[in-house]
Amino acid sequence: MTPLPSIENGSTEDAQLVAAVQAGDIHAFEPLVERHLDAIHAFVALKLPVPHLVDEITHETFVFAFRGIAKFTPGTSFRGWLRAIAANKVRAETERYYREERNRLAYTERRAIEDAMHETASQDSREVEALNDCLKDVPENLRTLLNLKYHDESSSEEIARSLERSVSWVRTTLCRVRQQLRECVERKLKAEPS
Amino acid sequence: MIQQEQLASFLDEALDAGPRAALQKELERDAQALRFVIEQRNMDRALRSLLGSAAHRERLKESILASVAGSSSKQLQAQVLADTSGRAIRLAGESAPALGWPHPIRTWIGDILQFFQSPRVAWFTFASAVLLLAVGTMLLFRPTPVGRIVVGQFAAVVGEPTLQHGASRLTLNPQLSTPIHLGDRLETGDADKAEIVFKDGTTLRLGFNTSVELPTLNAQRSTLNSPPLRPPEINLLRGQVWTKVQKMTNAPQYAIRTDAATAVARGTEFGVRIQSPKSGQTAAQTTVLTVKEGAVDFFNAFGSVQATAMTESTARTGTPPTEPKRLETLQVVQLDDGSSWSLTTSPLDWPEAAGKLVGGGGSAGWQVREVPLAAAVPDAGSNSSAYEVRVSQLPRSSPAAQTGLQLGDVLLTLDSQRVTNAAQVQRAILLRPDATVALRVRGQTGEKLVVLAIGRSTNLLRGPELSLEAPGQLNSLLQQWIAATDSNATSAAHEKHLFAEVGRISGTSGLHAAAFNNLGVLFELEDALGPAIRAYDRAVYLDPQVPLYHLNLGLALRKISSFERALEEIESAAGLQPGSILVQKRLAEIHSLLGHDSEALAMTEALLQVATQDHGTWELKAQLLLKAKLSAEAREAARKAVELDPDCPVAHAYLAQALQFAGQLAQAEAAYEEMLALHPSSPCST
Repeated sequence: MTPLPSIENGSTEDAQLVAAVQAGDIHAFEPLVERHLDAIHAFVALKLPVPHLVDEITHETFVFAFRGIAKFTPGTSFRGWLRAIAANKVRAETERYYREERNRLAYTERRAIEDAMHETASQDSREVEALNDCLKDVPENLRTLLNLKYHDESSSEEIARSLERSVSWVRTTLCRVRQQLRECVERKLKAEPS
Repeated sequence: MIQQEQLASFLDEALDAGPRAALQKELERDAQALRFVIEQRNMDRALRSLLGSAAHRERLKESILASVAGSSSKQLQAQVLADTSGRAIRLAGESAPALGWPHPIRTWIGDILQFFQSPRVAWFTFASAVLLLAVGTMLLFRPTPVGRIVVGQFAAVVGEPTLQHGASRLTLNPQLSTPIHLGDRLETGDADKAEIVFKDGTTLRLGFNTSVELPTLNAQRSTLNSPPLRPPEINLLRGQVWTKVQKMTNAPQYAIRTDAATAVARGTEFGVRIQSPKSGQTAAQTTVLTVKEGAVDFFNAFGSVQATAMTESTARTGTPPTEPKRLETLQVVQLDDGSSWSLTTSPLDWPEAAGKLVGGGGSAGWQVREVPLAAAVPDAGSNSSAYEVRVSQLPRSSPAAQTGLQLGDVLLTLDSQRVTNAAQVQRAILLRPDATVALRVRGQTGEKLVVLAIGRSTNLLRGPELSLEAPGQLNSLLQQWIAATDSNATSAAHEKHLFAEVGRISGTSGLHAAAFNNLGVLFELEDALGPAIRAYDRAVYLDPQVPLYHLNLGLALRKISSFERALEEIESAAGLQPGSILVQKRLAEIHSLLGHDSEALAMTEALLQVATQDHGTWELKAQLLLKAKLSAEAREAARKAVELDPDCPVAHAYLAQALQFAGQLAQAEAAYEEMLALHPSSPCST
């Protein structure tokens, strides 16, 4: 688990890289992608209730940022700017998806999308960073469980065999860990209001 | 109220179509559960992103960089999607990629296409194509002869059951090995029984007066490549069936349907029976599901429950299935090593409940129960009920024993009110700690009046610290709930109503937690373990620092064999209040049930260092040693347990078993006799 670098306000390094890209150095965009990809990808994943479009929207966000880099205001947060682009794309994509797929969606999916459409973009801009902090405090045994599930992409049955637990334990514990992480994120956001 | 485990399975995409659809319906009505699902999915996506593989991330990064380096953004998007999600997307306006056929073939196809440029040939070709299409469609949608798919054969036949093939009017009397097909209908009469073995090994036993139908596959299923090894569903039209389902990887659904509900197996042994309405009742069908092993989803249009081992649920036309109720008080758990473990999980009784209520309920330390009049001393003059209430357990040190009451005494009045049932007495005592009640009883020496001082039960573990007025509030709530308890006490609507009622109490979250805990106790008294677990869970959520709540939740989870979760909760209780012998004993027991034998034994040994005279711990040690086949050591532990509590039949049973294993048969027989001489429900110290 690699911790996300906390780069909220315009860092000097970001500013230099952006200036280089604006001056025509395409290669300077690579370290910018490297520095912000994880955070933006997680932000999109958190906001877009359509899992198979997360990569696509992240991709579009960076390409859009590259093409519009001239419009970036120096001295502001580059990640914040990327997040604003991502939020707009997420909103547009959510609305399009809802319009086109509405009648084919199960109730829970439809409600998740309706919720996402009513959520304001700036509402939880630090959620991903908070989640990343919370992940650091996950006990070792549960961290193994999370890695098996999300890194190795093992099924619950495979995890149960590997940890010598029941499938029911795996499912229930994953639910519980996710719930605890959500509560941890909420606590952190409350403790440090933006 | 949707069970947590059902939601977890739903989120893991592990539910079959039927239960999934039923749960989706439930979610439409349960805003809280829906919120939970949405939040879980949000977090799931975020975790997938943050913890996902580095290779995936690299591919995405490369695609972005390639895109900004000059390639068309859309082409690269297609590329990244193909790489990351396995989907190849053809972009709008882009032609299909050239097929990699050899050049001569491409040329020949080109020539043929040239030939079709002629108008006459084109017309002829069009007409032929329409004809071919019509014939093809007819062939494609022609009904397949699915009615003759053999799915199994008769393995046992008693009497003369009748078998009818599909729509045929002819019937035959099946013999051993007679094949059974999809579309068949089978009936047994007053003196007939039959057992069918399906091709995958699943067995279906038909009782007397039973009719079942094996529907043919529908159009969608008939496109399957291979014929099914067992029918995906069986219609039970009347009577009862018992089925033992063969476990398979990726097993297709196996369901038994009645007009009132559907039972879907999850690798299990279960039975379904249709109850005939009693005379005078409406003709609404009642279907009873009994599960022996594993779990079964039982649902209809009005609701869904998951019944686990040794439980029973009932569904009536037009109402949801009832919360599964346990059948046995002694559960035998089959362990992985082939051995078994007897686990006493009797429904919660009133004195036990007193120790679980916040602040402790009233307790007289006895047990009373209803005894049919025919089996008791006849005295119809004083009590017109078919039952009388007698003292059934009376430990020597209990407050009740000290008033002069005797085992077997009949309770006639309580504070001048006629005693009509055992619950009436137990409730009065539970709700009135530190008070006195006047009892008129009839014993061997005639009638007498005794004044019973009700004690206050000590909580099993530390409860919450509440305001001075809180106990009064909680007691009055409990009285209201008990007074409102009726036959619907376990219905989902009743549960929802009570949960909402707790939510409306004005006070701190600590008070709400205490109220949920007490509500859990009330549900547990009704043996409604699902609602009880949900209420305890809520108490833990609201006030996680109270060990009593964790213990109550853990003990309830243990009763439904959810040992991993029970372990977590009891470990939390132990963490919050170290040093409780009861908690350590339960932990050791659950570790053993989970196969952590050496850990369980080590815990028991450690416990005996501090509680040398605890009968229950010695008994547990004997049980663990018997499981480990260490009969000599088990014998000594059991002897110690018997010595500490000679009235406890369980300790005698372990001693007898250890002696038997050690080959000391005469002594084993004597120990068994001692055990049998004791009343099976004699109180054992815990």
